[in-house]
Amino acid sequence: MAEYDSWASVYDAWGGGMPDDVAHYVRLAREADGPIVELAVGTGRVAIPLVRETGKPVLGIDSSAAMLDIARERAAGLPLELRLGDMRDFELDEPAALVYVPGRSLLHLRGWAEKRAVFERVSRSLRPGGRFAFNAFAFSHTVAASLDGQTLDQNGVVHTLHYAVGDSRVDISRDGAATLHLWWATRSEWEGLLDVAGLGVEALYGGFALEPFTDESHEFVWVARKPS
Amino acid sequence: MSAYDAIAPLYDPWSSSVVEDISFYVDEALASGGPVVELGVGTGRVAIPTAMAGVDVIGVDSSAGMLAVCRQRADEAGVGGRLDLRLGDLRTPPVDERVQLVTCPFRAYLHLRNDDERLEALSATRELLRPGGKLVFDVFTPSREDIEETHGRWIEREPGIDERADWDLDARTLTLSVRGQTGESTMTLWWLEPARWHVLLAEAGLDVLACYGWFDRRPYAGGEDSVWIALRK
Repeated sequence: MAEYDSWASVYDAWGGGMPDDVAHYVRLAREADGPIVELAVGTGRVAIPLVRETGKPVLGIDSSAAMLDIARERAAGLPLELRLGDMRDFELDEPAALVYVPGRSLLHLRGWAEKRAVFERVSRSLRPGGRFAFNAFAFSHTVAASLDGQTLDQNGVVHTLHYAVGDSRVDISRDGAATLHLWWATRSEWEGLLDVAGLGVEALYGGFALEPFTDESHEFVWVARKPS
Repeated sequence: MSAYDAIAPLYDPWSSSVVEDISFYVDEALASGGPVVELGVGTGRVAIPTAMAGVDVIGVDSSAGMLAVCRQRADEAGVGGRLDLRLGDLRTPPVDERVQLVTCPFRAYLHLRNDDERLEALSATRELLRPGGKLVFDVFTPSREDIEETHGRWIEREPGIDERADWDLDARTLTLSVRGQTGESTMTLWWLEPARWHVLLAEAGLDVLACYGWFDRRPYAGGEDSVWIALRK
C-alpha cells in the first residue's frame, strides 16, 4: 500500500505494539522445503530476523518504496530479496513452499473481492503441499467502543482511530501522513476465502503462543495448506 | 605487547591513503552529540579529526606504542584535551562511561579470532551504549578476485613501505605484513560473511539499522567492504 510511504519513518517505533509474531513465522519458515515469500514485507520487521535465524532466502514484496528502502538498508548482506509490487498481482518465478503475511496486512485489502483475488493468487503461487500463513485481529465491539475516536500515543507516534462498522473498517490517521484503512473479516469470511481458493485449514490459533482460537480470542492466526 | 607496537611510527604513513572513512565517522560523532568511544583508536587517524570537529573521544587501544603516537599527534593538533586515551582490549574496554556512540573503524573487529571473542566484544560494546545508542563499524569480506590480486606478493603501498597479504580462504584469515625503514610487523585478521555479522549482532542484543557497502552510505550489495550501524534497543 503506497500510503505507507508516509508512515515508513515511524513504522517500527509504532509497530512496537504488534503481537510477538516473529517466532511463529520463523518456525514455519524452518519447516518450509522450498521458496519462501512474505507479502507486505514493509521494513522487514519479521523477514529480517526470519532470514537471519533460518539462513533461508526469502522474497519480500511490498508496495511502498519508502518502506522497502528501510528494509534494504537493514537487510543488506542477508539473502532477502526485496521487490516493489502489489500483493494483488504479484507473480513468482517458481512455486513457493510458504507464503506468509504477518502484521495483519491482509486487512489492507478492501472487502471480499480484493481479499479473494489475493487468496486465489497465493493459492496459484504455492506448490502442492505449500502453506499460507497470516494473522489478523478479530473484531471486538468492546475494543472498538473503547478506541473509536481516540488519539493514541504509541511510542511517540500519535495517531487517531475511527471505526466505520457498517464497512467493517477502521481508519488510522496521523498528521502529515496518508490515512491507513483496515477492513476486518469474520472467521467465516476467512474460512470462505480459504475455501474458494482451494486451501485447507491446517490450524487456527488464537494467538502466537499457538493457543486454541476461542470466543475470547482477539487474534486469528491461520495456517492453511494447498492439497498435495 | 601488541603487533602494532612495532609499527606505531610506520602506521600513519602506511595508512595515509585511507581517508574515505574519516568524514563518515566524524559525521556520526557530530550527530551523536558526543562523547564517542572509539575502539581500536590507534594513532588517532579518525579520532583526531573527530576531536577537531569538537567531539570528545574516549579512545581504547591495546597498543601502548600506537597510543603514544596518538597522544603526540593530538597535542600537535591542539586537541589533546579532547582525547582520553586508554590502554585496553576490545573485549574488555576500560570504560565506565555510557555513551550514545561507540565506533570501531578500519576493520578493527577483524582482530577477533572466533565467534566467542566476537560475541564477547560485541556484548561489551553494547554495555557501553545507552539505550538508543549506536555502534558504528566497518569490516571486509574478500572475494576470490580480491584475494588473487594481492596474495603472497610484496607491494609498495606507500613510498618506502611494503605490504604483503597472505590470504587463507579455508581459515578465513588475512596475514598482513608491513615493513618500512622504522620497523616491521605481521598481524592476522579473521573475516566473515555479512550474514554472520547480522547473526552475531542480533545475539549480542544489537539491531542492525543499516549495512552499507561504502562510506557514502550506498546499501551493501555484495563486495569487499561493509559498514554497519547497529542500535542498542
